[in-house]
Amino acid sequence: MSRTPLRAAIIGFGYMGEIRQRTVATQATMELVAVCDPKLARTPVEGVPLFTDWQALLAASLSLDVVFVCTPHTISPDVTIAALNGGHHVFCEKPPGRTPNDVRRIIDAERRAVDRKLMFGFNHRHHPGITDAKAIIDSGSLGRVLTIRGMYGKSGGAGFEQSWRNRADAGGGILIDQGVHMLDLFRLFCGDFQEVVGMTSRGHWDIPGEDNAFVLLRNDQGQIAQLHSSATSWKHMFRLEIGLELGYLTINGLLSKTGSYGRETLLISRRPRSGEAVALGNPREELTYYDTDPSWDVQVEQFVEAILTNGPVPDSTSHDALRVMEIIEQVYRQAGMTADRKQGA
Amino acid sequence: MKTVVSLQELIEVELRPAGLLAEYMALTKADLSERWGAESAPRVAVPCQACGTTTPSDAFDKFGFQYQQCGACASLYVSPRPTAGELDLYYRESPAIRFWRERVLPATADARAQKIALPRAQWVADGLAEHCADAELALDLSPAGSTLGQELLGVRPGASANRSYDLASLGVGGASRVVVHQDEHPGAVDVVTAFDVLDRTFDVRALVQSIRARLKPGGVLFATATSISGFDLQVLWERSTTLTPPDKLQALSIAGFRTLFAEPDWELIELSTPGMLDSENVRRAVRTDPNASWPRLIRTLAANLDERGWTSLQEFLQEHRLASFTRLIARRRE
Repeated sequence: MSRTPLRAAIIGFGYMGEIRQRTVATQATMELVAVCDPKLARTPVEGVPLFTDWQALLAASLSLDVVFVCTPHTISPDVTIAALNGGHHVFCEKPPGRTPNDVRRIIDAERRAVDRKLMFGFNHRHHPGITDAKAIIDSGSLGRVLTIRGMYGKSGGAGFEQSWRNRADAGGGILIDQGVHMLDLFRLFCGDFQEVVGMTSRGHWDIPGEDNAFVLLRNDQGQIAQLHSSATSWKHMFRLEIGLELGYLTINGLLSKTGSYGRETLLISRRPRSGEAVALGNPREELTYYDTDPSWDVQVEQFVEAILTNGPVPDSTSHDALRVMEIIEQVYRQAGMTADRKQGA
Repeated sequence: MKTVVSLQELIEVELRPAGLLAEYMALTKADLSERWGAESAPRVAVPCQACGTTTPSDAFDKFGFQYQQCGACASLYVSPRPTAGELDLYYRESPAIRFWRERVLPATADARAQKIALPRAQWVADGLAEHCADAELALDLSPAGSTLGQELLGVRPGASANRSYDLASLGVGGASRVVVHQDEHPGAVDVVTAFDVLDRTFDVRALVQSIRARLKPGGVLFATATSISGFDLQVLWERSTTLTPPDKLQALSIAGFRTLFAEPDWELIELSTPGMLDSENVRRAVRTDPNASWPRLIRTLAANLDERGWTSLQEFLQEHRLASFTRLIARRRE
């Protein structure tokens, strides 16, 4: 049993680092003892020391328990591995690296770090629309999943081409940056896919990676899924349509800090019963609106629970990270992207 | 917290045919007058049934029952009201209630089963999957004659039937094996369903406390009720056929529901108004009595909205918790 409060550090204090800091602040079982960001001149959290070199932070005598890795994914595998090697529990943001090999290196370190917990930031699994849809599917009331169609898009915007996400060494474009979440959700609902067909394009933005990707997946159960990941949708968009034997579910919008993806909703509909001729082709639909996004807190609570009980990490594991990166790798390979992915499609 | 919008066609006449409704109202009025018309009939003054405060103002009188509106949360409630025992007697003996069970319910059984009971059962089944997946035992407090199981299993209203049933047997699909009892299990339960009970019970706050006591910690309540924040009730007010005593001893406001199921005792998981009839009720009332003193906005809506417009209005009302049919899921905190 670990002592509490767990002593935590956040490495990388950009958008995600700030979110993690707020989450840590709400956890009675955790205290923030250090932050690290090379771009900061002074600590962003009063009373918490700032480091500008992550290696210096890990080498310091902080008696750390937990490290949140919120750096760009160009370095997050190295930071994660070093933290695991240092005997810390690690929560690493997505994407988990640039390639499946990055994740395999992390898994090697995880195996060596006995009883250390490792979790990745696939927080979309814990958005309320997703968790409710999963519960309904698991109950069996709508039968088996037949098809999934996901659209996850953003508009780019000012500074998009200069973003770290679009650097030449980022390992890809919109698919690895944002599409990775949707692919993770596909796996949540259907498990692994054996067939992967993908195409990418760079039609608008002057960036090394792709600004659009289409991915088609099928598994041994015959479940088929399609993703459109886009940096040219101009309107931020999240839409996940799940077709089932006895109805359909659609998650539209995504609760976020800015609200730019729209209000998160879950639409539930069931096939009309036999003989219900009136509703044929136009069944009753029920739309649920959500007010709060517990995903950040739920994920960290699960992580903390796993640490305190020395239990398994329930999801967003290194296995999940590897599988989703393998899908992306196959798409990039089919798109003819080079191994180091310095060239766009 | 969640808000649910329900998109299906439903018209009032399917559930409450006009001729039968008029007869029921006449019977109710006569019975109420006979039972409680006399000055000497015992009545009990009560506080707001949602927030417990005692700063009401007179709203209106209907069939000799004085409706008050709470100055704090705007809930509507009858005060003074007949005693709990007298109300019990009314529901057992009243010719109006008998008429409702023996004439109205059978005449509308198919529509009620398909458009009320089935969606409710699916709502409960989904809610169990989402919020109480390990539930085994539920207690159904819905009024006799219109329980979920009876309506869906086609049990004739009023017939004596086994009041325990398996949720999966209701044909809502899924793996739910929750056994629902009307009230045969004295111990703690995982789930309580209370459809249309909060409106008619003598003491809402006491009922909610007793539901909490019956629920295991973490157990959930599924309830439906009428909200006075709803569009048709706000427009029609005393003209609304929904607001008829003693069946509607109270119609709580959305703020009232929030107060009633507030932390630390409860976590309000869902508070929705997926009602379908508000716009139709107002539209029909204006059409029936065009010379009444309707607000200018209502006249404008009636003159300009087509079918699609009324449907859009209803969806808007649902999205903003401004329809009168209300449903909620509340979890008992530890």
